[in-house]
This record gives sequence, C-alpha cells and structure tokens, in this order.
Amino acid sequence: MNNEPNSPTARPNTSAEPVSLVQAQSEMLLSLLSFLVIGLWVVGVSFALGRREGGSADQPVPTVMGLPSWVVWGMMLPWLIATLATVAYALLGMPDQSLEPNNRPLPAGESAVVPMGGTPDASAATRTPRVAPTSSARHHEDQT
Amino acid sequence: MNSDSVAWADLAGWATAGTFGAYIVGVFALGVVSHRVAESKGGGFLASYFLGNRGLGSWTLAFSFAATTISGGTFLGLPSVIYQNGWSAGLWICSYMVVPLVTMLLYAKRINAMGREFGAITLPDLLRDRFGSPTVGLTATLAIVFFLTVNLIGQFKGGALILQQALVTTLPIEWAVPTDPTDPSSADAYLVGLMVFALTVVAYTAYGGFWAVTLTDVLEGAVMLAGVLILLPLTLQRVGGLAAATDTLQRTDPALVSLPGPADASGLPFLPLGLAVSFWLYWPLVSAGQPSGMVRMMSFRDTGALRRAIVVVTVYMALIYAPLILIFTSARALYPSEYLGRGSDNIMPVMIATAAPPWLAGLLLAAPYAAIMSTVAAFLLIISSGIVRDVWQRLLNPDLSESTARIAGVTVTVGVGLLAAVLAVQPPKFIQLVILFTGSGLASCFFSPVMLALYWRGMTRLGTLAGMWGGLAVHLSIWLTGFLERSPTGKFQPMMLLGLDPAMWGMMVSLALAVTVSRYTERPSAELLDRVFPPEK
Repeated sequence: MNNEPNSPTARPNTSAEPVSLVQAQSEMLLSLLSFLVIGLWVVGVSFALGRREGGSADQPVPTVMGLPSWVVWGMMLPWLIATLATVAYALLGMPDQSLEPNNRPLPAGESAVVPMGGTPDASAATRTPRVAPTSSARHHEDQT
Repeated sequence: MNSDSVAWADLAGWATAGTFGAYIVGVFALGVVSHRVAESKGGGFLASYFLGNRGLGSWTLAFSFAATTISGGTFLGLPSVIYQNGWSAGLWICSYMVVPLVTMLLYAKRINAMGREFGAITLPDLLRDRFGSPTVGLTATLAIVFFLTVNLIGQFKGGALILQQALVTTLPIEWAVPTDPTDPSSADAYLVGLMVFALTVVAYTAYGGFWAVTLTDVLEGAVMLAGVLILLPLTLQRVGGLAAATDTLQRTDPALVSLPGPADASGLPFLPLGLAVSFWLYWPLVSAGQPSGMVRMMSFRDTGALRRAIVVVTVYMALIYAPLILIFTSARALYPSEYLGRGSDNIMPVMIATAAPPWLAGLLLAAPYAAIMSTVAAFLLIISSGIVRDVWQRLLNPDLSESTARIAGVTVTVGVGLLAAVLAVQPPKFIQLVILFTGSGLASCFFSPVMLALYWRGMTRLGTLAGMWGGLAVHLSIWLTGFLERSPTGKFQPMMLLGLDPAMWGMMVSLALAVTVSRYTERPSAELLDRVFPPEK
C-alpha cells in the first residue's frame, strides 16, 4: 500500500542519481526552446492564414472539419503536437533523479554568508528551526 | 424578464441546489479524511500542514497544480472573452498548451531539491536560506501576503455569486433582487452566498491543511473536467455541429472567424500581432512566476511523480481549454447578440442552464465553483504559512513550540479567510482585473529572481532584492498610470506600454536589475554556494 504512486506515505525513489545542475539546466533550455518554437508556429501560421482567410461575409472562410483552417493548422495541430511531445518526453526522455540533499546542513550558529562588512549574518543562527523537522532534516539524521 | 434572468430561473431550483449541495458535502468530507490522514502520518506540524511533508504523488501533484492554476477567471472571465471575440480569443488563450512544459520542466527539480537541501517549507523560506538573508525572506512574504489577500477578495466574490445563483429559489424572493440592477452582488442573497462560501472553504482548509487542499483539488479537478466534457457535446448538439457554428459566426461578423478579431468601441481590434506575441509569452511565464505553483513544485515526492504529473497536467489542460474555446465560440453562434457587454459574464451559466437538465446543471455549476474553491484554499494556506512560518517562527520566535505553531496555523488561516470575506462584502466590480493585477504582480516580483536563484551561481542577496522590488515597482507604476488615465470612467485597467502587459515589463526590468546588481555585489559564502550548486561528479 505504501509504495503505491499516490500514497502519501509512499517512499521516495532515492536510488537514482542526484539531481544534476547540468541536467536541470538542459531541461530548462529544452523547455524554453520548445516554448519559443511552438510560439513561432502558432502565431506565425495563425496570422499568415487567419488574416488572409478572414475576408468578408461573401467570401466564406476555408474550413477543415468545420473549423476555420487557420485554427486547425495554427492552433489545434501544434496543440496536439505539443501535448504528444511533452507526454513523450516526460515518459521516455526525462531521467529519474534523487531529490535528496547531497550535503549536511551547516551547524546552527555557523555563518552561511560572508557579509560586505565582515560581520556574520544573524540569519545563520536561525536557519535550522527547532520545530518542524522536514523530510530532508530527517534524511540527514538517518544518514548519521 | 430579460434573457439573463430566464437563464438563471432555469438554473435555479431544488434539483440544482441539491446536486450542488451534495458536491459541497463531498468536499467537506474529504477535508475531514485528509485531516485524519495527516494526523496518522505524524511528522512536524508546519511541514505537514503547509507542505504535505513533500509527499505528493503524481495524481495529487497534477490535480493540485492544475486546480490552483485554473481559477474563477477560467470559468467566468474566459468564456466571456471567447463569446465576445470568437476564434481570435482562442489564439489569445492557447499558450496554455505549453504551461505544463514551461512551469514544471523549467524549475521543478531544482526548486524541489533546493527546498530539501535547506528544509524549506515556503518560498520565502527557500529564498531566505539560499542567500542567508532574512530581508529577502521578509520581502517575499510581504509581496505574497499583499497580492494573495487582494486576489482572495475577487475570488470570494466569484464564489459568492455562484452560490447566490444556486440558492436563489430556495431563499425568499426579495432576497434575490439586487438593490442596484447593474450589480448582482447588491442582493441580500449575495451575502448569504458569501457567508456559505467563506464558512465552507475556510473550515476545510483550516481543519485539514495542505492535505485537505490537495485531496479536494483532485475532486475539484475531476468536477471541472467532467463539467467541461459534458457541456461540450450538449453545446455542439444544440448549435448543429462545428460547421454550422462557423457558418453562423461568419454571417454574424467575419471578424469572429479571422484575425485580428472584432474591433472594440474605439475601433481597435481585439488581438493585433504584437498583442498575440505578448499573450503567447504572458500565460506560461506568469503561471511559472506564481508562488502557489512554486510551492507545489517543492512538495512532490520524487521525479517519477513529477514525470507522471507532467503527463496528467498536459493532457488535462488540453481537455479543459480546447473544449472551452469550442463551447463558447459555439455559444456566440447560438446567441449572436443577446449577451454582449455586461451580460457576457453570464454566458457560462446561460449555457449550463439552456443545455443541461437541472440535476446536471447543479453538477456543471459546481465546476466554476470548484475552480474558485481550490484556488482560495491554496492561497489561504500560502498566506498563513507566510505569517506563521516566515514572519513569526523564522523572524520573531525561532523557538516556537509545536503546539503554538499548530494553533497559530489554524487561527491565521481562519482569520485571513474571514478578513477576505468581510472585505468581499463590498467587492470590486471587476473580478478578472483583480486576478490579472495580482497574478502579474507576483510574476513581476518572483519569476526572474527565483529563476536566477535556482540556476545562477552569481546571484546575490542584493541582486535578488533589486529584482523583486524593481519588478514590483514597475508593475505597480504601470497599473497606477493606467488607473489615473482612465479614472474618469472609474475603470481599473493597466496601461499596455508598447502593447505589452505590465507583467512582461515587470519581469524584464526585474531580470535586468537582478543581473546588474548581482554583478557588483558580494556573493554568498563559498560553503553556502556549494550546498546550492554541489560540484558535479
């Protein structure tokens, strides 16, 4: 029961490699690039066909399956492709990685920041609150 | 009797109210179950109450993200825009096709891993620890509390209006009559709706916390999807199919089936090319910049859950938005002029009333209500976590005890909810503008600084503060300028500088300031940076 994907108490997958910054950056770039390319298609094709097709009442708009053709080629088709591509990447191309931290937290009271004036930042002392240990904190304890 | 009241009269009735009431009872029952689940899991109260102990699986992550993203605007404002502008409004909104890609793939893994590294429960928590700066955390908290509280007022009005309509024939008739004919919220029934909405949503959120919100999100997400997918064939059947709808639209106004869409009273088209580009960028980037979405990305269990959630959200968004475009372009073919102007806000309930039997109308009416409920619940928790965790515990009293934290969490959730309800007694006139104002403000403040904090080693504390304050200042200035220019009409609208929404300017200025200031100010210590950017093996 506990290992069912949606059980609140299911155990996380910690056997995978830790999240790599390089991998996360490449996924970020893939995301932004896809966003821009699909955007060029959607806006470009819609305006190229939609302006021309949108004539007057006596010039019927060309349709595909009952929809204006610019809607089909400029909106619905890229929507379908974007959906399929996202699903395919998430299921087949995206690696599983461990999200657990690599490093131990700094001891309470130790400065995390070298401030401009050289005085230790008071925030470091409060960075590990006494209450509400989180799963990551517990993870550190387990590793100890 | 005008056509609006005919539609609402069709909607009203015990069958409608009964189905709708059963849905609310279901939501409340889930809240109770969630509370018991959370209690049985144990763990720290704050991490459990505000973040679900980072235990979200794929379905709960997917539905809670989708239900938080889809708000009252999706089910009340968007149909009105599509109805008035035809297919050009489809292009206006269709960048939701890449919202899951841009929001979830862009930063989910990084923000989740960094949250675990620091044990962060909230976004201000994370930013504070990333830079070792309480000032950064406090700035983030203030921005979140301000914008989300304003947003709640608009959402409460939307929820109250829907309940008002569902309850209208079960109340004395004089309660349903607005004292101001142009303002439906001036009826006494609005106050009854507001009270019922506030009590329901505040009670289950305060009692169940994060798990109540996420589990009810699943129910609410399912109700929204069912509502849209049932309404689509009913509408197409009424209009005689897509070809008939397109033909009618073209005969009504050729601009409804072409770009750049119909012109407004001043002769400006709805969606010129520049604005189309702007809105393609707007929806995904603004969605990515919302703290509510970021918190969801901090709460999933592992990357397998994330991958499956991306699949679910991508398909879900397509199944919600594409049918909404089809339904309300068809609605314009069914009612070529009846609901234009102020009446267009009623087009969703009109379609429900005219297309479905009363018992089904109750269920369909629950769809927009579910959208509002899930958003309100998520925002209530984010605001109360900001006050209890970020201000009280981390800034004022690091030794806050578990029992005090528990009482404070519930009390602040109830208090903020009731405050928003009181402010919604005299609600703003334009819900959609309030939602745009707050969404744009949060994105202007958070999108660029958070992205840089996650991916750029050179980002500094002062760079983050400059980015956040700069984005906020630009956003508020542009809105204020628009407000002053249009103040004679009393309409609260932003200025569209060079055709771009204020959020785009806010995000750009925020990015420029964050990068520039970071280049000339001191970075966090190497030790802290190694925690954030561990050396690659």
